[in-house]
Amino acid sequence: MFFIKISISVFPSHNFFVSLQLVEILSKVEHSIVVQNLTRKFGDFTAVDNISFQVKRGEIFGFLGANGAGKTTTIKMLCGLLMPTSGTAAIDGYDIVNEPKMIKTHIGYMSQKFSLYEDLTIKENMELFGTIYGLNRSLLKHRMANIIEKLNMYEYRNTRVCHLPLGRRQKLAFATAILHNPSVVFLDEPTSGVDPLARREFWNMIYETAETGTTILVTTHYMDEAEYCNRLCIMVNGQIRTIGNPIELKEEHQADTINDVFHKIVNRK
Amino acid sequence: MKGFKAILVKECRHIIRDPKVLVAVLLMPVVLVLLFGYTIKNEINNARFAVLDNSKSVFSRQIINDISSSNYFSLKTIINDNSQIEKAFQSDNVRIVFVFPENFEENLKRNQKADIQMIVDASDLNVATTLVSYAQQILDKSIQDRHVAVQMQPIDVRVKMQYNPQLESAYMFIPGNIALIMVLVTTLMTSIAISKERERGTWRLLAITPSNQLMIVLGKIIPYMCISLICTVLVIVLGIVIFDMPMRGNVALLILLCFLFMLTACALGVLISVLTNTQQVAMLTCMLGFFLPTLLLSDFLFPIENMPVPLQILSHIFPAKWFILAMRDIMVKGAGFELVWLPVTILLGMTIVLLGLSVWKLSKKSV
Repeated sequence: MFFIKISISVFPSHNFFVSLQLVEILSKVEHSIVVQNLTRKFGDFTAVDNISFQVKRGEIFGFLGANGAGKTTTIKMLCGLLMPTSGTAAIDGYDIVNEPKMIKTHIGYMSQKFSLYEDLTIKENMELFGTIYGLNRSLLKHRMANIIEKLNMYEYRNTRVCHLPLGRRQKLAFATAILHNPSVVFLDEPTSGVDPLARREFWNMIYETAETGTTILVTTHYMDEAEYCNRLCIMVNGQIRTIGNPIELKEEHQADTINDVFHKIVNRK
Repeated sequence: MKGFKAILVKECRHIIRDPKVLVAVLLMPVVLVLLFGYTIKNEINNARFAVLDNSKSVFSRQIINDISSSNYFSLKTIINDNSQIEKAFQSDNVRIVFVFPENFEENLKRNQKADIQMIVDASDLNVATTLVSYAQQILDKSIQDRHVAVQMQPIDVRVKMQYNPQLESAYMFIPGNIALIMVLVTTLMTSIAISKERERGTWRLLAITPSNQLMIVLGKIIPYMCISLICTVLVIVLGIVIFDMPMRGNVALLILLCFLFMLTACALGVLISVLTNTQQVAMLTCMLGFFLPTLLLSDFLFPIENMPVPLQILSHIFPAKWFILAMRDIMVKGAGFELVWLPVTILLGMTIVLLGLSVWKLSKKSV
């Protein structure tokens, strides 16, 4: 701000230009996910069909849709694992087509199905991913100690992951996914097969993480979970059919729950 | 680089976590060498034989004595007429029957030429041919020694088995065993290690991290490379210590060759894991596609020269054949690089092609 004030006085003609640029930078920073007309085709099949949306920093954004609706394909593209057929997207201001390497250091990923090595211990898993993300030893040690304490898992720290109950395992997987402080975390059906109580605890973790400014994109089958999101979109056949916060969506479609909204949208031709 | 080291550590931990596999892998060379060393022998000791001596002469008895006093044959039974030959094969389990005609001694003295008939059990072809050549040598020598005046043949052919005078089969199976172990440890284990991660989905977890795929693969396969090198050294040492395998060539060249073949096996393993999606398919591909050909088409157990032409041509595409060829030349003949450059170059070419192919396929494979 100091710099801008000076520039106003010295180069009044640049004033407008400078502030415009600043707005652009700010908006980039404010939206950690910007997706524009993203499309992915596999042969004749269009898995993701011209979708656009933006997610603000610190927002919990839900992705709802049946299997095969294109959720996973979208996430793969946003993670830089799959190139889009057309359209663009940016994570934290980095373009997914041109700067996939930069994206990889800024994101975290977790899925219920596979997220940790079961034959390694809690510490070994965290060491592995911490080291890959380039955390130095002391920082890694510090964060590991924090997480283990926070999750109340000190007695399990040298236990192999396969001996942990599913609920604990999945909280640990989430903690490992955000070990390197990513600005965006992708959660691909993180809670399938977990009991309701553990799911509640898991969502508390998600809220805490979002409060620190980490953006969360979560796909889910559970409609009650969709209610916890700040905003959500419903995907059908590769397209985003509706997008908004849960309360708005319910009003708009005159439904009591997101579940009803989902069914109305899916059944509408 | 950090990712590479982390994955290397992780892979070692996987291996140590499952010590049964590690123990099995390290025991395998020992078992293979002992098995092949003591069971599949090309040289034959104490083959049982029977004699039908119609001439009942001094000569024939001396010859029979010479045969049975050699290590290769032991006299099982003496039979009296043709009808008993079949029985000797069936109930006495003899491998070979020597038949001396009635006028054996007279012919030998008068015409300087006599016949001996050898009836050989050819149900095992390898044994049969080996026995015939042993018998031939003993007979020649026996007649030469005892009857200097007698010239069996106008041209006296003397065979010297160069490089392997005792016809030791260790010369054949040690290089073959190394090839087998490389295929088992390197190709099979790397392809399983990689396809296992694909199958479980953890591969995507690694692909999402900033480390690149090549580093991930390298970190994963290096522990297996180390294990297979240990196994190779084990086989060579066992071969030298227990089976008197000679080491006439340059040790550095030998190590270089083993290292090259290990790279070939490794590239194959990575390629298989990229082309297949599950552990089981990867394993089957390794066993049927590479283990069996290594066993059968590499001049290890069965001579390639005796195979039909299509198989002979096919054998050229399996790296193990070239490796075994070069290994034998180095260890037994003491060949230097000038003699083994061809197989080494072919192996190098194969390795480069396989590595290139697997890196290319890997980069195109979706995660």
